[in-house]
Amino acid sequence: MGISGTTALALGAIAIAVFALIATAGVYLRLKEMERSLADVVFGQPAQSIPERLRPRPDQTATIALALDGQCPTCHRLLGAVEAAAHGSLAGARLIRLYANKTGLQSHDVDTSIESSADSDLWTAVYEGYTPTLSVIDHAGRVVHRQFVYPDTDLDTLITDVASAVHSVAPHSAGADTPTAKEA
Amino acid sequence: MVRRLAPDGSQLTIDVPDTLGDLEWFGVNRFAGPRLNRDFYVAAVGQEKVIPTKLLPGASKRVFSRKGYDVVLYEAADRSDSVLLWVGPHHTATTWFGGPAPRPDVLSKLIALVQFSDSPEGATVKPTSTTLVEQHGIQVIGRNDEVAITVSPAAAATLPEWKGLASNGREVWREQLNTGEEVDTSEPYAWRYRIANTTAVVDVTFFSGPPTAAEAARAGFRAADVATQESNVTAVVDGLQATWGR
Repeated sequence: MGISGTTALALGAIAIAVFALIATAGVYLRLKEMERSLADVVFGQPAQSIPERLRPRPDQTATIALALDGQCPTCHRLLGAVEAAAHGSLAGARLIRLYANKTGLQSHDVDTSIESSADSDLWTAVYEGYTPTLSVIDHAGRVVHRQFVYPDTDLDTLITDVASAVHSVAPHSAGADTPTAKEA
Repeated sequence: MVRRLAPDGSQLTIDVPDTLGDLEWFGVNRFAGPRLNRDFYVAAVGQEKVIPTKLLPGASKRVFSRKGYDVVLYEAADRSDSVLLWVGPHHTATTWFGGPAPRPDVLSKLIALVQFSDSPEGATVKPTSTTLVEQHGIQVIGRNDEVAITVSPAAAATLPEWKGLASNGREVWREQLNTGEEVDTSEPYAWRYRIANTTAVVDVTFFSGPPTAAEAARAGFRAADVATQESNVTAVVDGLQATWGR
């Protein structure tokens, strides 16, 4: 006993309807996924590339760049705290302090082993409108952690946070990834 | 002479009498556009720390770092409220959603619509497209324990129909404060004072007593006696000058 023509037509219509439903669901899921990835690209940091001169060398984990000016007392305290941790929790990182111009560097003339620079190109790459600022830069030239340091910032907590940011930086072999949001 | 930057980029110069002491400054800007009604509040950086500790304890936090500021999204643990912040080095701008955080694409549209820039004198929160979005209700607010000063541009303010007291190139009105309880109207602090000149309108409200018993117990707070009230009010009515410029 075969299937009658009408039944075959009805079954065919149902099959097409089910296929259309699955196809629509697939397109909808794909759209949601695209929205999510687009939002990540739009939100995330615009790809600002730090110059090669500031990036860490292959044997270092990350660069910790301090944007300072010569006068503020917070800058002095920050420098002292970073220096104290240079061989401790921040070992393996490249430490550098940056000034807007030579006058700033000279007025902050302290005896320190940390690299210093008054180059205006490096300054514009790192300065974000406030001194002192501490930035952690990875091998790809991306700023992975940026913190403004205020007079009432707890420097011990700051050094701990910076140390954990340095340890979470991807090692040198990683290629350029798309910027993603940090989830805390 | 205090210089502040209003949230729409206007420059405010205000001469606050010294007897009032130091003020903390805030800003308000409101956007109105197609399917958009959003209020932005600007405060000094550090004020936003109250969000994860007191207002939305246990909230989830997403941080998007930009050059010069961070965009932070807090969502309450039970998703009853959420807030989007632009945290700059000097100031923070916030907008509240009153519900769960919007979808990522809606959020990215909102962030793309807002142009945030910070400076020690104030933060500007402007729409990136002035054809689509209108700003209105812009205010700069200075307050401390004794006084709250609200400044708005003259073009936006509604003034009483009757003539006020003319003094030093400004016009001054007063309005009885409606605190919902019995106040002695002979006290100068029982009134709100509105001072208008050609560019700015300033509303000054004095606090004649601490709002709660707990604050009354706080050391150093004394309700001002009538003589002090009179001298403060006279200093304001005679001497408060504000200029709202481009």
